Amino acid sequence: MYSYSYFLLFSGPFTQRVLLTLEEKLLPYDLKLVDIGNKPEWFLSINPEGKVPVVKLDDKWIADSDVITQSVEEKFPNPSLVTPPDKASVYDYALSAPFVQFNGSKIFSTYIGFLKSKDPADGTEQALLNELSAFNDYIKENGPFINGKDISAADLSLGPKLYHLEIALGHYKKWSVPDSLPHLQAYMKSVFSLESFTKTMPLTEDVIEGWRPKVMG
Amino acid sequence: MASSNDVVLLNFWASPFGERVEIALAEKGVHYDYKEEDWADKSSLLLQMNPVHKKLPVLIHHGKPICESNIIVQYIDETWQTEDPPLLPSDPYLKAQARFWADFVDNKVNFSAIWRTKGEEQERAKKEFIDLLKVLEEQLGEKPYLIGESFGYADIALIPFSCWFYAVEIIGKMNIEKECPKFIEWVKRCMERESVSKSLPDPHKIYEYVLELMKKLGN
Repeated sequence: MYSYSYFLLFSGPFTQRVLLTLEEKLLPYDLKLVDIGNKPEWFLSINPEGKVPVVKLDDKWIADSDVITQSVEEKFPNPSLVTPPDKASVYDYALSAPFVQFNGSKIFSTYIGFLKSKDPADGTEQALLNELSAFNDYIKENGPFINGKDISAADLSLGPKLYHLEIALGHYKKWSVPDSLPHLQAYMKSVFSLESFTKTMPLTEDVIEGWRPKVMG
Repeated sequence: MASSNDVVLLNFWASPFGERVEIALAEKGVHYDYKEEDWADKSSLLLQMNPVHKKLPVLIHHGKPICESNIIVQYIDETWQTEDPPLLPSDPYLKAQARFWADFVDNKVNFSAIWRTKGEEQERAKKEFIDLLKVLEEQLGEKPYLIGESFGYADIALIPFSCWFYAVEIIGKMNIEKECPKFIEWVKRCMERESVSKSLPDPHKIYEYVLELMKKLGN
């Protein structure tokens, strides 16, 4: 029995990351949607901090998408989604051998900075573009996916964030990934067209509403 | 100005034909009531680009219905005059050109094959679609809009299909801007108009919708 929550703000991409992992490994799962604004008793009793996504694996509840995806990879190693450390070391993110914690965190945090910004000259857009440009260069040399030919954990972590970024920045700032980053554009299309992605992707309106408090606040 | 319940638009949110009417109404600053129609006949949903859809949109003005999106746009142009140039040029030759290209869009633009088929059939559909856009690029030439300097009837007929390009590019694994950069320039130019950007749905929503259609078709 697996559980996850769909109705949410920033766990959106983290939830999709877990679903993508389960889908790519062809694992059956049960979804339970939880209203983040109104967490039911049964949910809080197994998960007092109310974290999402949360997954029940072998009668144990696990929170945190990093821990969940790692546990799933350990228990179900085939097909492998491991992103080798050398592929992600380019990004200098928190690595924890043997599983790579590539999660595009700088892309995500600079995206949030830009989304929230009310001053077009405050450098937040450039900060995001710098991160995206670095990724564009990486994918140009190493693509089509982060680990080359095949999809791996790093793509399942980054893909959902890029989808949120594309929708939210498109809606709130009429911004889109510039044509100067064609490899990033192609990467996004490849990931967004994966069957596992189309099965698990959030609704456009939910993404837009989910980010509204950050934009307005 | 007519009160908003004198003008009612019946539409389906994803319909490019309905969007033509929304754009025209916005260009003229007309206030209207919008009624989303639940398209009950599920199989019709699958024939999105098919003339069977001529029943939506419907514009109801003073209780009288007007059908067929291009005809509605012409009606709107004639009924509400503003200081801006009319949507249809007054010069008979240019007017004929505008009508020709709007008809061309109606008869030729049909890229649903790109998501309904696979393999060779899909490749053929993709090629046909790009060839079509190239014909339109030729018509554009160096002009900002299809018929001349002003955004008008022919542009309105065509622009709503642009929000389907995202879905087509992902599913068809295409890059439309690379093959038809001039066409995409025209799309961006049209999207700068508020009437257009406010009337067209988010391309991600259309992508979701196309995926649903594909599921229903068993793809």
